[in-house]
Amino acid sequence: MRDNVVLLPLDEKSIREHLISYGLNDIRTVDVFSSISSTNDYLLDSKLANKKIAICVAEQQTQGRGRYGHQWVSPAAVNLYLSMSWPLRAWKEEYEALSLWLLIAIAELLERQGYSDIQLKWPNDICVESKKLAGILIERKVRQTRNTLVIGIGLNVAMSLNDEVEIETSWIDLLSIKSGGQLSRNELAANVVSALYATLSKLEENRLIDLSSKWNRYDMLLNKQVEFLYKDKIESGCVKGVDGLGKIILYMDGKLEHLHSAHISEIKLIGN
Amino acid sequence: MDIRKVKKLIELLDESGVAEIEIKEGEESVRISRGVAGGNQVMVPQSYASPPPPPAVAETPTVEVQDSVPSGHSVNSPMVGTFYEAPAPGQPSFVEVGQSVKVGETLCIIEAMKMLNQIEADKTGVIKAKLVDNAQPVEFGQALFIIE
Repeated sequence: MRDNVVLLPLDEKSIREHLISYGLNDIRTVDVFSSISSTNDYLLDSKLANKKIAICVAEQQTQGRGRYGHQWVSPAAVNLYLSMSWPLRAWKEEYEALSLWLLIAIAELLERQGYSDIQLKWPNDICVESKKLAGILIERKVRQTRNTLVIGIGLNVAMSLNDEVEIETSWIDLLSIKSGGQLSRNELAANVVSALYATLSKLEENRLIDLSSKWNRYDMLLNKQVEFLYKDKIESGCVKGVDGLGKIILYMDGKLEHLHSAHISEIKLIGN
Repeated sequence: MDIRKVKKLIELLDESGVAEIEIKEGEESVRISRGVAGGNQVMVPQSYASPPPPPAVAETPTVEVQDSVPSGHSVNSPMVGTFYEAPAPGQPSFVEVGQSVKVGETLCIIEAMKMLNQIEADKTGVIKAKLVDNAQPVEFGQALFIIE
């Protein structure tokens, strides 16, 4: 089966055509690279991307980044590495939960494409069978005059075709979840952009509501015992979902705590 | 560490105009920094291989240090988050104390809900003080740097 999988190269024209067919006519810039240090860095440094919505995709990232300082393994030609810039009109508190809203949007997209049992892991991963399928990294330049978000998505499409990939954490790709599915990365790229676009527009217009119940539907950690780093100590507790601003709710030491990502890290499931 | 040595280091610091020095000797290390806005912290012994800790260090240089509290433009955190002084662990800091910066230059990253916010200088000048240690949580409005 796998021998028959053909992945077409990423192609600017094809991505653009899909975007236009979705009615996204205001995305003028789609830059495609065979190799780049990081698609997020490219847009963060781009003058144009600071003013307009711009897209950057690459077949390979030589310095793909995940969470602060963590590498995002980015082998060539088997996955999707996509970044989108989004100039903000004004900063709102609701943007604190942006990564969660965008992950929900991508989970819903993948479900519509026929991928089932999608899980979200607070605050920035998409998993299936508790294995990492995709991650999101949002970066922002904070200025007095202008605020620009750059949203980076790494999505494992057919990484299992590459025998040489070595990653410490367990991972999965779209190909392994549903073989025989249509695997056009160009269409997928346009779909991801469309999902991000719709979510960001709604957030700007205050049309996103009920984060907790939408997140809980996919929450991989909900009602699970976890271990985590809190105030420099390893603690444990039971996850009780997220609140309206995206903070994780944990039952620990006999009470419920709403924790911001600045205060908790390295969340791991205990046992299974 | 010998208390006389510590005293020498303090004198050295005072003469040099450097804001902070850290000395390691074997497994002992001591960091001496000038007090900064609102800080009465004079010396922070970092770790001790064996007790006792260097005695009486806090008594020594209070007067001069109080005088050298830097005044100037304060860059505050726009959000609750985690303060990072470098683009990634092991990489050099974006800025060091004593360095000149221009408006728009990145000073640090504040990570909030996995959004990495690059905080840029909003004033051209010299970094007089860095008020937060790497990877520490910061609160909204907390002063991060003093630029003069």
